[in-house]
Amino acid sequence: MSQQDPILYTDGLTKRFGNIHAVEDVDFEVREGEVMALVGDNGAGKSTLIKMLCGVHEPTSGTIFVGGEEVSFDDYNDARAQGIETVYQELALAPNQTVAANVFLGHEPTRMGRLGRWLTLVDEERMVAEAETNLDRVKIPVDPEAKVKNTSGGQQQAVAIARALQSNPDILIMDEPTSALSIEGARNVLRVIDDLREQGLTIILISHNIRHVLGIADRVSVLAQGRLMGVREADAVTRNEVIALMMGAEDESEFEEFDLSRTVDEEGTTA
Amino acid sequence: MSDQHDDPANGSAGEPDQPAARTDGGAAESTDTRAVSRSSDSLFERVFSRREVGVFFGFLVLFGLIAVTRPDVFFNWASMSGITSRLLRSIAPYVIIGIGMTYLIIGGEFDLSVGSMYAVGGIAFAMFLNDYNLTVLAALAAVLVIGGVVGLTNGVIVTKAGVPSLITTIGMMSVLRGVAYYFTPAGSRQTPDLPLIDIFGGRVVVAGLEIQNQIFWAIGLTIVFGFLLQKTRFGYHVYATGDDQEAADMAGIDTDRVKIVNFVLTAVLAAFAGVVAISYFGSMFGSAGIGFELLVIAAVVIGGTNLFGGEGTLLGMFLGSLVIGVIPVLLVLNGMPVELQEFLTGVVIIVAVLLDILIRR
Repeated sequence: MSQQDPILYTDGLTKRFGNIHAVEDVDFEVREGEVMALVGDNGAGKSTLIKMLCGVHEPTSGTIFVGGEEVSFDDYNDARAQGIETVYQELALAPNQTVAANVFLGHEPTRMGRLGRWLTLVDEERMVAEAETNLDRVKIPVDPEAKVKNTSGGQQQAVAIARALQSNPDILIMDEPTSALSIEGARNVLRVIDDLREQGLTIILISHNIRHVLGIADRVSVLAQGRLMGVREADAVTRNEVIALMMGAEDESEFEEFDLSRTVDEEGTTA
Repeated sequence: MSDQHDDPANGSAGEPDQPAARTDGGAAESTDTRAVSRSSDSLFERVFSRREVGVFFGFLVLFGLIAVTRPDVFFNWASMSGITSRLLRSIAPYVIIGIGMTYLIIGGEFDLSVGSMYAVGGIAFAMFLNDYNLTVLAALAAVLVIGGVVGLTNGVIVTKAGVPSLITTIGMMSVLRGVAYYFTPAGSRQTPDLPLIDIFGGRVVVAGLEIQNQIFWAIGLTIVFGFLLQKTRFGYHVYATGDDQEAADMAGIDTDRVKIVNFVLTAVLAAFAGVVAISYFGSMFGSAGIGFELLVIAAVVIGGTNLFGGEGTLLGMFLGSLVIGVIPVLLVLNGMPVELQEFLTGVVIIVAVLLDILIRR
């Protein structure tokens, strides 16, 4: 069963910035078709790890394997070519342009042959129609002709996801997709993640909202201080256990000393 | 910034989740059947929500002020045709340069060296014709190449070396002005009497209204470049670059290249505007075009282009140029010193940008 094959894994992946060990000797593994959550406190190394996987940072040492092959990325285009797409937390949308233009940003479909590299006419009808198709896949209704700045946070997330799906990736990395959203917006985005998994996509979900993570993920990888503290099946782990790992505790008993309620409040896991 | 801080799901304060209620409500599990609210505003609303319409009415009001303050002139076609003709001629260089400036500002940069480039363009054109005996078209081509080199220099310094366009183009403004003065030791340069020059400097008379060829160039170039801006992939990339450069970069758009092309376009068009002007006047001073940069930027911004990039149209710039052009006409007709134009233009720029910022808030 392909469920068990790692589509992506890292071997001793390390990233240092000067003396700071942002990510240290991490063996991270994602199976095909699963939603793998990556959790950790601020500064735990989530972002750095992800940025190595999507080509923004070059690892100090260690190796990334995609589909069993060793890969190295110079920039996000390299990662994209390996089937890895990323939806960044800041979404990277152009607010004054239309939803359709954002879905196709940088890859606008053209009419007619090329008259020259810059004189290509954008096929607006096709762009709007295809944007609509892509947005349908995400199942959050958005008017493709509306300006992005006039849409809600959840809709903007949908636009960013629709754009990421544009290149037909195998792996979708989503960086804090629910953090800026209302409860309803977050719920819609979680539903989208579920749908995409049904469609066979492998998803790496970065979040510090443990409630969201345990509700949607198949497995959870926990980072603390740059190290991978553990990997757990999402339906066989408690929130406290995850938090204990996040705090760098070796086992849960060590964690009893922390003021759990306060931590949970800050993480927004109580609603 | 955000008005939704009371939301417990907001783990970290992020972007405002504005009209969330519109589509984010309702049952989450079922397939969504809620209709997407389309931009279904009536044609009336859509037309009148456009910035260009407002600018056009602004122009009509100013133009109408001529009728109110000087009915004797306004309702006398003999004088009014002359005034209209002069107005159209005066805005031609603003429009031609404004095309490039609109591209630049939408893409997130601007160019203060256009006034000097205009002078160098006209003076170089005269020199190529007189001193080097080039044909009109060869001289034009040479001038455009000079413009291209200047624009490329501006663009590379701004994008690759990271010098802000304010510094780069103010420096270039001074450099080019120095060049213009150096090559006009007698104060000005003249173009020889060549029939081909009339392509740029000629005129036609329709029903007593004298129309200079330069306004045809201005309108034609506005239409061509307006089409390119709205319809081509490059045009899309210009908007995206100025809207959010990082987002555009991450989407694979070569934003440096977009900006360099815009700088080149602007300088080439400024040089061309100089050619057109000297072809009409027959001579050009080394001091020609001083202050053009502000007039052009004013026209662009009045026309609705976002000074911070990402939004704007050439139609708006054209109408903004009409507003800029009609102000001195009003002043002169009412016996006010034309020097007030600079004062008023400054006021108009500041008020336009201020209003723009307030409206967008």
